[in-house]
Amino acid sequence: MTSSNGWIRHRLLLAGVLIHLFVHPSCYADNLRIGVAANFRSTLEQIITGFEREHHIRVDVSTASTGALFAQVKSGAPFDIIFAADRLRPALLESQGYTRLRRTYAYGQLVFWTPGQPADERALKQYKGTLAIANPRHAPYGKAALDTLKLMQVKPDRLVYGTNIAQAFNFVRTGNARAGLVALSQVRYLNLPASEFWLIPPESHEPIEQQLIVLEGASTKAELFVAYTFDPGTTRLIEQSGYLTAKTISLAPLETGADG
Amino acid sequence: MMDSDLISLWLTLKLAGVTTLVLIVLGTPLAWWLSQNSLSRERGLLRKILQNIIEPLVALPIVLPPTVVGFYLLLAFSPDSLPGELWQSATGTTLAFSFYGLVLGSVIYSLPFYVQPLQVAFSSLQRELIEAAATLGASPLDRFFSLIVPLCRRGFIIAICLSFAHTVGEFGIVLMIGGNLPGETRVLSIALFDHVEALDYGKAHVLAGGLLVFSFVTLLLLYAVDRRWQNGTRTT
Repeated sequence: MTSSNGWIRHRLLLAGVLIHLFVHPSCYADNLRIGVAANFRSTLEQIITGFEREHHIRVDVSTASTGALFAQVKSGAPFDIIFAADRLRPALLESQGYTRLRRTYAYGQLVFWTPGQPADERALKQYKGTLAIANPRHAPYGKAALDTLKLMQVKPDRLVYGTNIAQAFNFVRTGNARAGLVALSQVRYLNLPASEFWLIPPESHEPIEQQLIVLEGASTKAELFVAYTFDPGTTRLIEQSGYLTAKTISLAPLETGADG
Repeated sequence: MMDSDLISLWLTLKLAGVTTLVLIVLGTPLAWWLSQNSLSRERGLLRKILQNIIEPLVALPIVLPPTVVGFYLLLAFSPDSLPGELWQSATGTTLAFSFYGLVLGSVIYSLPFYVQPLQVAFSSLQRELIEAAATLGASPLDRFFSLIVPLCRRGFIIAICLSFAHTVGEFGIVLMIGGNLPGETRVLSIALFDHVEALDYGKAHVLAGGLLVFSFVTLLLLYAVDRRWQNGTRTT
């Protein structure tokens, strides 16, 4: 071997080491990659903590809106599982052959939240001023909120839309809107006083059915995570976080997705 | 294009137009002050310090993520904070979710795109010309409008076009403080985002393509103007 050959090999080796150093661990194939809709992120992170402890499999999480996740999956984003905020887009991906499993993991619950004021049905019906909700056109919580307002004949002075339920929540939290229809999981997450929010009766709107999908090319560990998600302990955690599950929802008949 | 998209188009043009007007009124004196300050040799220490602080402040929106500006504006607009409280007691409305809130955000966001080209134009003025006009008895205002403005027209056109186009392209701040109200805060970039989120790629294509063509044509014209007037000043 000539010395110049050795030099090139040396260089290539060095480059290999450098690439190894700079490639983020999340690019390793043995990590599980999950995309999650904004409202479920904090709950999912608690689930992941338990899962990682039990199975010693690392999980990387990306948060985006369900619409953005949909577009990412269609353009080949390397996710194993998607926790969406609705059932429409998971069903669409399934019909286009992108998935190998689709299942409902939670039902979102809506609350009327007025910081610093007692919240109840009458307060909602008489509410004037700016009310923040998620965008009804593409956010499931927004659609449910609009259904509720119509049914209860609430007419706020101004209805402002957050891109998703997290933004609607922030409009209220920063005081720019005095009240909002937000997710129970959000007020639970911040441990807000129970007097400030009122749980909207689930029959006021279509159920906010949140589905997960396992993508076609996903690692086999994805099913392990799904099984962990439907484990009784995890189900309890999801319920405590402010969601209903297949066990607790009283609406019948239930749609459980592809496998139902 | 749908009706609601036409409303968004009109709103976007209105926002960019009003923002540019505000920038012409506020940004021109600022650009002048900055250009004269950096030229004058015997300036006081205080002015020097002020200049050294204000110049990077003006440039900040170029490097700051719009979400930073949007986040602070959202906090400032809240009726619980002083600016928000003052605005509410004066107008009875909130700055968030309003057209004026967007104007304020856009003025901050587009400020460097107006001030910097103009500051460069002012700095490259031949001072002898202005001094000659002064000795001939032209008042400062007269000197500015009949001498400096025509001499710096290239700088003005670039500044106006850039701040207009930059405001048309604004997204992050509007997303954070707008609240998506049709005719009030739902500008084209937000309408486009909505179409994509709702998986309506057909409508998204119309807006995205339109914005792409608009931006390209603006820059095309800008470069053409730049080249022509650069040559023009050389020959005259």
